[in-house]
Amino acid sequence: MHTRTLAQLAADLRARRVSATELTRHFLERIERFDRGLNAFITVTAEQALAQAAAADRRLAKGEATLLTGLPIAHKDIFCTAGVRTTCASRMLDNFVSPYDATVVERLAEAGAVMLGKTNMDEFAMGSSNETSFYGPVRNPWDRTLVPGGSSGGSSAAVAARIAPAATGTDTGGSIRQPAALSGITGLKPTYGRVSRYGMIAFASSLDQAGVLTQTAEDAALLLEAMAGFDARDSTSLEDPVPRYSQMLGEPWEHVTIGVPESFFDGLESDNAAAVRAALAEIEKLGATLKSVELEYIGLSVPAYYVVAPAEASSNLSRFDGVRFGHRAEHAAALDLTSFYMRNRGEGFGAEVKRRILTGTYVLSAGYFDAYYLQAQKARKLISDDFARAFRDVDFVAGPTTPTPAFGIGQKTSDPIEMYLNDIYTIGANLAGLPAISVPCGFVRGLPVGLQLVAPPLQEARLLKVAHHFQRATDWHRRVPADYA
Amino acid sequence: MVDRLRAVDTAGVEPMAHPLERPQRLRPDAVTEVDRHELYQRNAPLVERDLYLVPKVIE
Repeated sequence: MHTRTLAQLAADLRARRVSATELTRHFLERIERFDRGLNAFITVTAEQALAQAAAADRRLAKGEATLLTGLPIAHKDIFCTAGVRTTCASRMLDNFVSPYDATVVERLAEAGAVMLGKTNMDEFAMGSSNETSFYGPVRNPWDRTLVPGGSSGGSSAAVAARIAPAATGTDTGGSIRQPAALSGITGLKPTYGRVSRYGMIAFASSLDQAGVLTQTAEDAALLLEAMAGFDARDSTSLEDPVPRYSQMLGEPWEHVTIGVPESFFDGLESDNAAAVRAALAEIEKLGATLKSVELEYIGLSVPAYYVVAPAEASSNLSRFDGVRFGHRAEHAAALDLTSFYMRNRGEGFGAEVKRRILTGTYVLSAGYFDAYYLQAQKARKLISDDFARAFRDVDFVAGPTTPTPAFGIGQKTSDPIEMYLNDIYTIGANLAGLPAISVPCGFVRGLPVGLQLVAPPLQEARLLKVAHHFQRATDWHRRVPADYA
Repeated sequence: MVDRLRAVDTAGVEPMAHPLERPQRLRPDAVTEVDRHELYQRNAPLVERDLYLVPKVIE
């Protein structure tokens, strides 16, 4: 059951080959059995899941199944879930029980999905390896001494080990696509504004986007269809209508042009480059023209991001002060106000979060604002224009998702910049607000690597279709690590 | 890393705040939320008579 996709499970449920309760029980058992070795979950909502599954079975019995009725999924612990602990993998929110549901959670529940639990992540979504979590690192199911990627590491590991068939994630600089690539699964970041950020704990408001980590592009299409769409409670939510993504994948193939920035292959391990190029050749066979494109300012992605994102984070995380909720230091009544804030925040936040808040505050401060923050926003414009220019000639921009396969736990934690460079290929799509997907495309030294495709704004349907056709012609996405098969 | 950013000539380039450069919606300045303070204060470290208690601020 656990190697079946959401699309297959939906068919199984509707044909009554399996009940929602049996399915949920199966995954809860797998979580019980395997999560100790992975640490993918922060909270498992077993009772709630079984209640939701029972309700789903009642609807299925009456023939009232909707898009996702009875399908178990996991939610990244960045999405507020009513009555359920929501921690953002931080000590700051260790005791926080959300009073409301995020729009993403609400919509998926409304569509009938069953929530297995909340997955582990880098603290406040800041990281590329899931090593900054207050609850400990997540391990890569392909090799448990390695990272699964981050910040959606828990979601990624859970799906890769098939202890959840699919999971939600968020992507600010690559936090869905990079872990998907390192864990051998599919990860989709939609266009900025396509999915509501209401109830999604904010890291960098102009970059954050909710998305999914799945076994297939087909499953991503199914979940996106249920999640996407206008939400009045998110001021950046797009009013553009939501296509029926799940219905569009099977549409006849149209010849496409794929732009490949050759500079993306500089310094890439030869086996990694070969896997990506072979994947592109496969898409060429389906009916595509590959074309070299140049993104002149793409090299500014990482520095621009690591100015803009921390700046926005310093503002967003200022709400965590121990006054109305979240961590408050012991014997607080005896403290003066400054010490009160310092102790609450000093104790509540981990080192990487503090580093980014300090960086962000600095680049926004008087005297530095123009040199850093404003300059970064201008670089952002240059990068966005590069993509827009490329999209006049090509339908997609493609390349490797990450510069390397999964690396060792502890291997890159001593040099923040070395860690930041993991996002070198993914950040551009966040800065330009573009939809992007990573699909598994091969193995390097026994570890998965991903192919990334970036599309113009609101072209998720075309993106998913290409990925879907690629997955019909190849089977990288069906590989499961031996320990979890 | 950031020096690379500062070295780029961005004269005449408009800073970009919103990735799709779309303006944000406005709505009428009218009350739409209901009072749910009891629910929200369940997570409060210290509350008394609906007020959040903090160390003394006024000297």
